[in-house]
Amino acid sequence: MPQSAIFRLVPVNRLRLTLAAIAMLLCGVWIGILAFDLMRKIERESDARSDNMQWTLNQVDVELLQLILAIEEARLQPASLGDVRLRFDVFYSRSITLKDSAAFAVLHQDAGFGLSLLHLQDFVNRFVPLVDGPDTDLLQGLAQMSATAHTLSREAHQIALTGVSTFAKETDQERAALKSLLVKVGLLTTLLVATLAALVVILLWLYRGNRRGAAVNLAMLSRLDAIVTTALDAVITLDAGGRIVDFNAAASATFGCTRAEAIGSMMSDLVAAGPEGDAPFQPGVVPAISGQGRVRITARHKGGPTFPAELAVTRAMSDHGPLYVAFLRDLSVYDANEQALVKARDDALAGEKAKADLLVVMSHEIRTPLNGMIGTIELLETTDLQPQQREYLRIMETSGKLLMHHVNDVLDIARLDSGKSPLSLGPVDLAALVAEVLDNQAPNARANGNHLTLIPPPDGRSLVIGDPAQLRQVLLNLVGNAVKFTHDGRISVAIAHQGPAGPTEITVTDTGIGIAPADFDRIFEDFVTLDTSYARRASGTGLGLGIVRRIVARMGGTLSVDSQQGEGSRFRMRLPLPILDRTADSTPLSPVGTHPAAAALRILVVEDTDFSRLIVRDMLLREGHDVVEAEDGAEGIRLAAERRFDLILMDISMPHTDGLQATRAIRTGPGASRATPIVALTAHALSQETERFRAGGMQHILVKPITRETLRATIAAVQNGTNLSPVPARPDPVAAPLLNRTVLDDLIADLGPDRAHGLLTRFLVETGTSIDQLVAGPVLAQLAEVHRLEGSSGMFGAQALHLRLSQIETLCKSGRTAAAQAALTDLTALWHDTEQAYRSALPLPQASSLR
Amino acid sequence: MSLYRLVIASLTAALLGCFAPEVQAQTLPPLTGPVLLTVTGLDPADYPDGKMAFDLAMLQTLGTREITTSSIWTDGTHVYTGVMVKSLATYLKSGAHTLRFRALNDYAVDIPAAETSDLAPMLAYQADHTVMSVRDKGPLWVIYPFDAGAEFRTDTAFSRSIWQVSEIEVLP
Repeated sequence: MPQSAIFRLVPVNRLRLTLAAIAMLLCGVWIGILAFDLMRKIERESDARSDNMQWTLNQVDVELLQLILAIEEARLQPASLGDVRLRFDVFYSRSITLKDSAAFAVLHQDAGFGLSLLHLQDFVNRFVPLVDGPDTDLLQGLAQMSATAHTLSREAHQIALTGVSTFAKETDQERAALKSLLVKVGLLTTLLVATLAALVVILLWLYRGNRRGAAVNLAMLSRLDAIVTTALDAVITLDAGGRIVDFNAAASATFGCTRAEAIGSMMSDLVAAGPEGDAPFQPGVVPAISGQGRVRITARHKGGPTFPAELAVTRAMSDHGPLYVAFLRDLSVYDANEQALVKARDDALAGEKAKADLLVVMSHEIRTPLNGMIGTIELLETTDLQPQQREYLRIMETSGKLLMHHVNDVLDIARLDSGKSPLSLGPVDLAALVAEVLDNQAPNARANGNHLTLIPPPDGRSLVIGDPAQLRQVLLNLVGNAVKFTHDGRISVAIAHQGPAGPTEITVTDTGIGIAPADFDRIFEDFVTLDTSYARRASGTGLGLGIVRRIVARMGGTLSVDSQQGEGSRFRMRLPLPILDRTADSTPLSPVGTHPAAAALRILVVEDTDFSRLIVRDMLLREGHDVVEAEDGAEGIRLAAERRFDLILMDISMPHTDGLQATRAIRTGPGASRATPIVALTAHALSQETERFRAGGMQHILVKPITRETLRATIAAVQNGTNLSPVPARPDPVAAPLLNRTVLDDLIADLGPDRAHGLLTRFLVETGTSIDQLVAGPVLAQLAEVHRLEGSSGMFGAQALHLRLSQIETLCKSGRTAAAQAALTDLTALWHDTEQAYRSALPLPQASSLR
Repeated sequence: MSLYRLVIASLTAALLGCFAPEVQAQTLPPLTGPVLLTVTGLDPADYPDGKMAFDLAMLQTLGTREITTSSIWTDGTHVYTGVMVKSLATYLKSGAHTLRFRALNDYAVDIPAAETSDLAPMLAYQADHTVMSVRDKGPLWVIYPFDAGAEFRTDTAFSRSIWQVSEIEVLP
């Protein structure tokens, strides 16, 4: 924090201040010492021992002269002898003073002065007896005294002069010492003043720095305060114990309590549940989550309700230890929005799913009556018709087939998009496959005046591992397109391996109208038909290339187009197919059932139950067979009479004309298929019935539920001319599982997950309703319904239900009505269990979504 | 000495605020011994020719204060006996005047009466209880108690310490 930076300055400044104070104190002490010294010196001066010394010294000279004058006076006039004595005494006193006075001690060191003083004292001592003697002696001695005094006058003068020079010198020394002292004091005073000035400058600087720092601090604090106050998130400051020390306005709004109420209470009081939804914070937990980023918690509003919130805690240092700043955001609105968004997405997805399901179901539903229409048209063609009527019929048939084609396209797209229909891989002879496709398209090609060519692989290796059905579909679509958009041209399909190990490139080239480069990408999209000129020449759903694109992608290959408008187009598939080294001639094309070209049969399916018929039809189609459906016995008889089928699958239990009656009619009639093998489809293959079927003209019995394997085995048996397949042992209904997963898995594999699920959903809904009705009424009146349910439950693998219904039907037929009625009672429970088993086995949509 | 003179003396003392009642009360003995001091410049109304002469006895009557001190002019410490200059001035009713002291050696110094006190200066007539000869700076010596304090060792004090005093002139 900047505050601390400012606070840190203080000790440094304090040190400086202390040093300055010490310096000033030293200066002061020094000045004091000097001043004291000065005072003493001045005091010594004022002791003024010298006083009137100069005068005293001069007086030696003067007083000697006065004595001489007095002597001369007395010699002339003896009456004034008293004056001589006075003057002598005065001179005497002076000489004593010079000798004794401490003031003149310094002069005594001067050799000349000392000698002169001795002479003076000699003089006074010599004449004292004379002066103190009688006048007569004094008068006589005056002459001698005068002479001696005269000799002394030069000495006296010398004393005065010595005094002058000595005292002058001494005074000079004193003055010099005083001067140097004064200079020292002056210097020190200057130093002191300078120090004081420096101190003042430092103090001023410190003051300004502090004031600036304080201003910065204040500005920062007020800014921070403004930020915290106006923050949109709750900002809560806590002490180390989790106690609230500050609470901003947003926090008040979030928690519904005022700042005054919040301060002092615990943060844990504001929290209903911690980050993991665990117990509310214990006091002191807040510091532990500091620096952990955002944490989801459940907060508690003052009034009681809780709300989701996001909490982030950071640690800060203060003078009183660590503080924790908690930022808290109310996430109620975010959560609500998110949930709304998720719901919207889910709704949209469900809508998409429902649409796709609807499309599948609708397509499927369309196909059934369409089959009927096309079949009927074919029947009509065999009757006597006017040429006009025949032409109408041809148009109807063409339209019907086109419609069927579209519906199949849609179903293919749905199946491919589900991504769940696996590729069924096996050995495929590409050259043979292409030849078959070209054969298939030959009539159309001839109609358009086109010439078809197959260019087999140059190295002769045309056997690969792949999904023949898918490859066929791709080739059919591409060649079909080429035929459609080419008139009086050539269409060639070339197979070539890019390397010894692939990939394999299949190129479909035509000399048709071509495609504009701008449309290259577009043509592979769904429901794309190019401009109207195409539409005039050819019609389509625009799904063909979309299907090709999907299948090629599923195979892990790439698809590209190259075209010149007016010149033609070239579609190039590059597929990573494993290449087998055996030549096509030496090996079977494919295992039984996987290569329909070798074993394709025309098969009539006579079955009244929609589900069963559809499923059997689809299985047969997937095996590569051509299928014609009949919904009841009468239709079956008619169709069998009109065309020669390779095989007829005949349901036994049908209203009006049952399977046995129909078989008898076919066998005894003049129809085209009177010698065709007939396989019985039955859910309840009792052994005595088997005999009855055989007697009725049926070669084989296929017991429901029908799986791909049993179907294949049966067809193989028919082709091989083997006898009736063994009847599977009848499972015990009590021990039977609710679901036969094999049946169910085959169903899904054959139909594709989407279609299978769509049908299953319908099955579940319809069966539920039927069983409710069944249980409500007398069993005998509903035998047909029991039979229908028995068939469909077998087809969908509801094994326990299937066996129970089969049992009921048998009981009814054998006249044990009461037992049959009794067996009905727990049908609802059984159905309930079965439905549950379906729902747990498969991710089925809710039944309501299809109603 | 008349009553009038007494009254005047008393009034003067009262006016000056400093007095020595025992001095005032005394009457000096008549001049009998040799004259030690002659005072001139006195009010002619009170003193004939404005003069007055003192012998030792008269001075002793006026005061016998003793000051023991050393000095820069003498060897060692001595006891001086004398009369305070202030007492003398008071007695002479010259408290408001300046006194000019004259010495036998022609030295002279002026001491304003106002600058005198009960402590200093003193007009000594004895040193070590002996009358001072001229040779010993007699007969009279104005002396300060030099050892008693720095205030008595000033230039002024030293210059006013006149010895061989024989005459005082009261300046107008």
